[in-house]
Amino acid sequence: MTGVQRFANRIEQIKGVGNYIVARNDGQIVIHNLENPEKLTSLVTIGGFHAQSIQKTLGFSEFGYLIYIRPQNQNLIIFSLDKYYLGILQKIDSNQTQLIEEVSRFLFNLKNQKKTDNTSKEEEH
Amino acid sequence: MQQLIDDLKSIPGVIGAYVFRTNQGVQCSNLPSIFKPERIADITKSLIKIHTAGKQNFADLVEVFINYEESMLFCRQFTPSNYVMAVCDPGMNLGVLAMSLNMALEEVSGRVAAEEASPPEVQEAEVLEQPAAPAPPAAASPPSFEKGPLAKPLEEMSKLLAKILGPMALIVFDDTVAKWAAGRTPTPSDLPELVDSLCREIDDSEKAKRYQELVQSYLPAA
Repeated sequence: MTGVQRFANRIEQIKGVGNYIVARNDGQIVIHNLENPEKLTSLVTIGGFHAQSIQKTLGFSEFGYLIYIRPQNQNLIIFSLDKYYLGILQKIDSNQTQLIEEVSRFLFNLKNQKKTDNTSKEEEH
Repeated sequence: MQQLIDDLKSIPGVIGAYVFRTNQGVQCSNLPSIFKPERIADITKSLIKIHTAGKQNFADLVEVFINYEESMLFCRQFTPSNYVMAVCDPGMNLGVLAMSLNMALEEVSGRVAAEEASPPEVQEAEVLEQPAAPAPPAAASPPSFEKGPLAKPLEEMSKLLAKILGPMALIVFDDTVAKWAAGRTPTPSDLPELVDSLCREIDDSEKAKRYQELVQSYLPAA
């Protein structure tokens, strides 16, 4: 099992996660659990890209998440992770706030780990 | 329209709002002056693209929220050619905003749609597949090495792996340590075996060699 598969397994374990997709910012699919991932990949990539465009225009920090709101909380939530986007289709009537908090915490830990290490590396030099 | 955005702005947490009409631009705005017209135009273009892409995939799309550390953006299409956008505090309750907007729009939507006097745009869209079956049960947590002789070397090895693998390292490291420690109480003399397992996970001979060099000082002397 690869690291990315383990990443996906961790995402799947979060309560409220139905389907998911990880795509690179150039639209290439990294991993997913959809039957037909192409359309959702385009949406995740386009949504993430334009959310980051707004971020640059307004001088905001990195975007936290983008939500496509649908009835019964069957929302699509897009997160950024370095040069990747993670798209999650919520399960019907699941708790959106809890899902976002758990995924954000998980991704924050991953990003923070990398930043900490990069800082240490710079300090070494 | 002005009443609509003024109603929105009166909701605690809403910084300001505006209405955008396709091919005609911003109809009215009560955003703070820091939002220059050219900036509003730029973010509107992006918001419309985000919304349109969503509508092409989800026929039942209601609205879009984007959360940044500083603010939250909101976009809803309330007639075929009219959109209301709002800028809110990041901690804004989405449900409150949506409900308030629903009430404010009840009055406005019908009138604006009649004014437009144009047939509604038919958008072909399909609903993507339904969520899959429930996720498998959570795997057992990795053993804790927060104390004892392995605490420091494992902490450093985990950080060093992140230099090689990036953000995925945390997952790979935890999982490999869990396998390595399964069914025994590992000691520092077992660390080289863990490094070998991690190098196999890296799956790149150059990076694996680099990792071995980096962790050398945390391994027991041969």
